[in-house]
Amino acid sequence: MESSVANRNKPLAAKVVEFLSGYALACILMLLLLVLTWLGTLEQVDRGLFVTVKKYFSYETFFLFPEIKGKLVPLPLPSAFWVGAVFFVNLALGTILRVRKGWKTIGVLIAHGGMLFLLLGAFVTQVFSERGNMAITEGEVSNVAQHYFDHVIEVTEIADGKPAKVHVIATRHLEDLQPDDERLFKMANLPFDLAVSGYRVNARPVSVSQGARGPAEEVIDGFFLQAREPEVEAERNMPGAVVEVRAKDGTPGERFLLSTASFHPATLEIDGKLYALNLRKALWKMPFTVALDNFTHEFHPGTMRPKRFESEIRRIQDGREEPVLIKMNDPMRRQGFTFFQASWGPQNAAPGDTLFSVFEVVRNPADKWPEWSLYVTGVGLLVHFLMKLVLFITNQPKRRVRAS
Amino acid sequence: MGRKVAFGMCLAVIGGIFLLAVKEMRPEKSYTVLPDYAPWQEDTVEVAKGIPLQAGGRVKPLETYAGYLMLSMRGDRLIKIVGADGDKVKITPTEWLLDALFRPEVAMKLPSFRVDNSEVIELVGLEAREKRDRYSYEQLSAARPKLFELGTRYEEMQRQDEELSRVETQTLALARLVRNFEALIGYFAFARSGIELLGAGVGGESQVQRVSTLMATADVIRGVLADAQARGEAPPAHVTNLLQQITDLSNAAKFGLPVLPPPDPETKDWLTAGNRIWGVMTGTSSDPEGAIADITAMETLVATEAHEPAKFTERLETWRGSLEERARDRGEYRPVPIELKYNRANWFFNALFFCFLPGALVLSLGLLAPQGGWGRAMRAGVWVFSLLGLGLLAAGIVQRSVIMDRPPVGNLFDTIPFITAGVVLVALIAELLTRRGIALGIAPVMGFIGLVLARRFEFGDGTDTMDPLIAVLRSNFWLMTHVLTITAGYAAGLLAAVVGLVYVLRRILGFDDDSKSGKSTRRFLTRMTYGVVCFTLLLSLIGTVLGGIWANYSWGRFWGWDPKENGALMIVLWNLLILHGRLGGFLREWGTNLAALFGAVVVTFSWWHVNLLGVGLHSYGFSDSKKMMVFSFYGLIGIVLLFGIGFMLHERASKKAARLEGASRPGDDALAPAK
Repeated sequence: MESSVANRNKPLAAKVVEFLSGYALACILMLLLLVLTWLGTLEQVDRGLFVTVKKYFSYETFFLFPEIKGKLVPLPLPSAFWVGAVFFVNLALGTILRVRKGWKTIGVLIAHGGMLFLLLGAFVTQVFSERGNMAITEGEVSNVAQHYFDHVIEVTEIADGKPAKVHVIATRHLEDLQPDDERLFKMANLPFDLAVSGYRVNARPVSVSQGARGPAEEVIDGFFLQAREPEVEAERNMPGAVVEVRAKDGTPGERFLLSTASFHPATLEIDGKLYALNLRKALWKMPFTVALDNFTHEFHPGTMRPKRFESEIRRIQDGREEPVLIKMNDPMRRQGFTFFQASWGPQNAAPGDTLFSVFEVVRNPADKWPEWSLYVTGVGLLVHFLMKLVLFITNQPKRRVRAS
Repeated sequence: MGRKVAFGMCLAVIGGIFLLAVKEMRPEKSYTVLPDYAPWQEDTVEVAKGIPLQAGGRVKPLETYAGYLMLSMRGDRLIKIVGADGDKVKITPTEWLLDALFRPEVAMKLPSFRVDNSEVIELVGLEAREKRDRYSYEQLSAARPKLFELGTRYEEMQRQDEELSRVETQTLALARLVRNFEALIGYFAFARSGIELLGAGVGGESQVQRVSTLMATADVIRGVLADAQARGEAPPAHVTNLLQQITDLSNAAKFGLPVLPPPDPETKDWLTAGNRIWGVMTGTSSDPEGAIADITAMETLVATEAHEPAKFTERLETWRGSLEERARDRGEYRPVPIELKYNRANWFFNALFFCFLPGALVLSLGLLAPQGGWGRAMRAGVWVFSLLGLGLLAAGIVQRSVIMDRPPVGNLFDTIPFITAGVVLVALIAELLTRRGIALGIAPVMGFIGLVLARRFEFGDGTDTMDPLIAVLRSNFWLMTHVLTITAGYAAGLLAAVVGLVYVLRRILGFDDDSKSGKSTRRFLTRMTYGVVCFTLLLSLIGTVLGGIWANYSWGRFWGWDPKENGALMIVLWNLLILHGRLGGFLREWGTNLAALFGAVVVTFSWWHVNLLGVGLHSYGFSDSKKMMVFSFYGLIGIVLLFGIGFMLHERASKKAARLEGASRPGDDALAPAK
């Protein structure tokens, strides 16, 4: 009774801190994370991983409605990003304020510290990591990786028949555009601006003679953009848009239909200068060049089960060469970039054919954090539970001695 | 009363699970009658068992190969027929394979195919019998053209990503099995029929020559063809006829037994008789003399079988010896004799039927009178059976590991015996520490359930459970650390659920009254649940993070929201929830135990269910029957949980009512019986 009176008399800030550091909130958050993980797992079957992760873990949304087998569940749930954020606060405050400090709780304190570090690592990874892939054919070199999901509209200045300078617009600036919307991009270093409209996340340019066109679809040079459902594997999406070249005074100019599915860029000439317009996956320049000398792969005999695949490469930087073997479970880590053996092709290659190898390229400042946090958490939990086990055993009532 | 109910329930559960285990062994309604069937001599079978061959990416004894082949076609590893004089004859996989290879006319009559859905039989135009029945090749052969036509059509549909109906899938599966069977019965056709040379005999009659003889003249035949081609003429009719025969016979022997180790150490794929014939005839063989010797040995073997069974065994042994020698030279023979011993020991079968099953029965009998001499004797029995079972289980796991030359868990099947052994071991250790008989009771029951599951899995899949690892898993360090830890986490989670289940059942069945000892047992059980939950958390958390670190090494990301990763995270979260719920006072005795019991659902989701979603990096093949098993398990746990919650609420309401009544009539306290 006294405590409840005391509780009532506490200042609001203290009550808030108490709630934020409390077990009740911890349990609610864990349950929410569990339910969200479960629903996200089921939903990715229909919607694909990228879309589902974006839906469940984006900081841009606070609430979401889950779907099971494509059907909406009328139950609003908070976004896992924000649940995770509050969980971090709860865990930090709980560790600082709630957990008793002493030898008996040393394990718990260490484990909580490790978990905080893990969550922090997850946040840093989510916000700051970059991923892409680099495909190189045997005997060739490359110093650019391609982003998995990010696309760009590229304007390339052509001089003497060669690309001279490239200007880009990232498509993340377009993704909120409805097909009817238009957005003007002021191109500071170009003699014209670009107005982008009709942006589609996934579309194909189709000849008017070959596809049924909706009334909204604009026809340019006999083609229109036919929208498609986003792919379950989001990296397969091929965006498309209509781009109008607009003079600096706002006079409308030529209109182009750009699509990642197109093989060739569109070209235009302004003031005697040639420009190429292209919509493609964003490129990512590496600080070094990679030369693929040899790629080998092996299946388990008589099966199509991959046994081994590895790439012999040379890393070239400032004229120096370093031979490296990249294989499954053994990536190359250099200068903050990690190169993983991801896949290879062509899959139907005959013995002796030239192959290409695909590397997954990742830059993640928190690359090693989970590993460090594991050591911390593992030690903490081990200490705590071993202490508990010893207590459990030593507290057992002595076995009754049977009367003979 | 409660004890009798518990005894009855135990027997019912054991009986039910036992039936599940032996479902595939139930006798057929009517046996195939083959009065002329001559069983193989025991020594012949023994020799045949050890013939090394390469299948599914690894070298193994013929016995293993035959076992899985028969399992995939027939759904079990034994055929019973009525032989001469009405005697029952048991045909093992090796004998069945010998029949298919050397006596196809007999093998065609054996009921080698299990058809689970009679609609398939009707679809191909045959008259169905039972809903699920077994058919011989001879019985199915009338519908062969239709079956293959449908099989080709459904294969094409599958290639186009069209979804097949249940019947279509089953029909396609049957078509493939029939094709596999034909690859066996046709394997030695080249040795049985030879090549008929038109007009080569006396008086222009045809003459039959051995294929090996023809192979020796391959250069000449190719020369004739080249000459004809150079002249722009068609090859002579008798040569065309001969080539057609060779093509057909080598094709028939191309897809069966990959039993011939290649001479070139760089070549990884073992060869079939068909590969050998074709290689020589097309001039692509690097070792034509060796190929001719291989084919000659097979021809001799086949010719001997027809006439002299005793000599056949001798020649089979010589042939096996030469194959062993070649496999040994390639450094590939090591696992074969170990696997033969493994097959003979039949560890898991013996642990199931001769240790955990009797252990569980003894446990049930002990429930009737746990105190006194009877109880002590039964407890001793449970100890002996459980320890024996654990020993066999451990021996099996270790031997598999030695055969596969890798840590014990590398595929979904491996997890089952490993988890079973983990649960039994921890239960026995817990019993050693607590001496209350409760953890001891868990050991044989979980051992029994785990091995029934393993058996169902193996029989349901009909594929080799010792398949080689795919590239990403080929890291002993990570298999040892991540996979073993996470699997041990599953085991701990299930054990926590079982302790929770024991608590719930004891309460519902009235084992624990409100006496001092009853309350003490409840507290003990809850502490035990709590302790196991702690270890589940420890193992699952470390296992999950290790998995993340491995993924970071292999694929460049610590966490990818892959269903298997999510499942592991759910186990971690659920156990964290139990521990913090308990610390916060939201979960007490009932709550902790019910939550731990629900943990079994979370573990099952992670261990099995995510695999049937068909997405992600950890997705393995999953059949409908396994799906059914998973959902039945959820249902069962759900029912127990509902009963538990209902009982808990009822108990609370009764206590509250009693308290209110006590408060209104304080004088009644004096009348309450002493406790």
